[in-house]
Amino acid sequence: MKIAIIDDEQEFALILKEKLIKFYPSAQIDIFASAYLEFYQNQYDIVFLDVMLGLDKSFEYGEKILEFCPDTVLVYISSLNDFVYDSYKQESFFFVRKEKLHDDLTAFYKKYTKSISHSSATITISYANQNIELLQHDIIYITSNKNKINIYTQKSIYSIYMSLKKVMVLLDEKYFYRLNSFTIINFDHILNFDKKRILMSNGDKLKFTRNSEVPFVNAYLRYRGNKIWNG
Amino acid sequence: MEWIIINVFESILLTWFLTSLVHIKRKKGLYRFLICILNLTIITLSNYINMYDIFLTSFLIICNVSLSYLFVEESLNELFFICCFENVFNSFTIILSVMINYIFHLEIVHPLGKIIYFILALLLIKYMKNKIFFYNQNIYLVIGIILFGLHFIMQNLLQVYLILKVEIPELIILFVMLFCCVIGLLIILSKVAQMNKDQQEYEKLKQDIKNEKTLLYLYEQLKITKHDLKHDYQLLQYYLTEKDYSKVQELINSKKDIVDSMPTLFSTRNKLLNTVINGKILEAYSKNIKVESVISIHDINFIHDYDLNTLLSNVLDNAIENNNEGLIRINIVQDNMLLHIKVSNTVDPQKSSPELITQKDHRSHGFGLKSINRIVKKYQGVMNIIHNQEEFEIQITLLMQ
Repeated sequence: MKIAIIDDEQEFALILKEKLIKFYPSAQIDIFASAYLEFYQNQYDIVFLDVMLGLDKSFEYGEKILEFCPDTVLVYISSLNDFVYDSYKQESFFFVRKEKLHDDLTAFYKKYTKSISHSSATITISYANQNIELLQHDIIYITSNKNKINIYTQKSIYSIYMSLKKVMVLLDEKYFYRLNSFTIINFDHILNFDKKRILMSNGDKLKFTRNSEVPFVNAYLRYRGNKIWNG
Repeated sequence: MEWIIINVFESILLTWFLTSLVHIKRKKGLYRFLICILNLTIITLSNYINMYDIFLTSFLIICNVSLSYLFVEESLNELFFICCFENVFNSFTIILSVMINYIFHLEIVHPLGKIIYFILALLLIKYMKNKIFFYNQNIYLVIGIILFGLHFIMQNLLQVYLILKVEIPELIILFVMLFCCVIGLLIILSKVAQMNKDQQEYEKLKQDIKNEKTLLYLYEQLKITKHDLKHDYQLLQYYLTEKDYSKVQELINSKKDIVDSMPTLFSTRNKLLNTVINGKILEAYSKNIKVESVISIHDINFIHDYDLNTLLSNVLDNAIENNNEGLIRINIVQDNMLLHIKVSNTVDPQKSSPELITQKDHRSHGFGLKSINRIVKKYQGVMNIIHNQEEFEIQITLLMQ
């Protein structure tokens, strides 16, 4: 695991590094006073970014980091107990206060560990006469067609003999939702939705069937609310 | 056959009108179906047993209110008001269709009445939906009774015309009387609305006075701090001349808490958000309650000012009321197309109530949570409450559309 700390306060950066080693003993932890070119040459898993680097500079860095490395988890660090910003546009949200470093870092560790365990969860399917392990996180949505199901991932579509009911048992129901009698969707791959359809991360649009919109909106909002607060 | 079709239409329209103005909390389909069947049965039976006028209306109102109460969030008074309003509205559309028939010499009183009902109801529902008309529940009851009386008068006038076939002059007199009644009712309603507005103004003034008191308290605290600082500087000077640096450090450490205990006020681009939350932070501060906040928003113009105000004020009021010199954490985070609000507070065991309602004002029991719930539903949001003996947490997610 590779972790970066971007903070111009060297003393605090070292304290944070020390604390992080306790949580991630085998991690490579680098400290930067600013987001130099050298920083972008490495793909970091987690970046701790000070919000007081300069006039909105931190948020510029934040957006840039996520643009270059979308899988990086960004954690903002603040020296104030309160974090009040109204120009924040990024989707991921982690926040650590210098004054309450231990508590906030522990909360972050729990959230991050949860998300990591989800992204490594798999299901095994029998495809083209061999067993394949698919990362649940990679599944965008699943549709059924007679006695077959089509599993849509970023890379390919797997068509296998199985029922939606059976595949739903194999999936983590926290992340997957039965949209209607023939579709299961992964909440993490929803980009947007309106009254008529849901836009998935691969560009596919799934139409709402009769009476399916309201239960979906409810379930999705609960999922997102739970994710932002509890990880 | 014709009257059966008309009865079916009447029941469907009545069900549609009623169910559009209430907030259904469970089994929407079943509720609509039951209400429709109930109304159809009553209306059809009334034709067989010749039950009209006040008996039919009363029976319909009682049955609709009782059944609706099991499925919707509205109180009995509110339901009674809605049912009586529907009756007056129905009578009004029938009278209108009778007049049109009379003027144009048509013979389609009932179908025309239903068409007028549908068109006007569409506009009315759009206007009335999700609106709180009166903050006092008793007003709903009083207005409901007035509307019930008005409906009765309208029905009688109509029957006098239809049965006795009175000629134009009598008809005009009757409708002038009715018009006077309607005008009278409108005046009463406008007075009540004015009273309602005054009440809101009064609440606002009360909040201003509260804020002013808090500011005065802050000013007093500032004066004390200023006074203390003067002595502290003198002491610091003395320690420095004596080169007693350990004492200097000790003094600095002892004063660190003053800086930490001062409240942090917000300054986002949303002025209303600043006003509401800063007011509540000051109120909490004056009651020795600490507030920690994480606000990360970009553009929350999707939510109406009055909804944002009601939502945050109620959530934060609950957090302050149920607290005793503890802590409140405010979290507001905007995330793509959603707005997440989480407010948690330590609970004063003496003030906590198992029903999750404030104990301060028995008249408005549960009104805060009800308002919150109404706004959450308006924005297709979801609400989650987690509580135990030590902490109360409310999580709200709203859809930004």
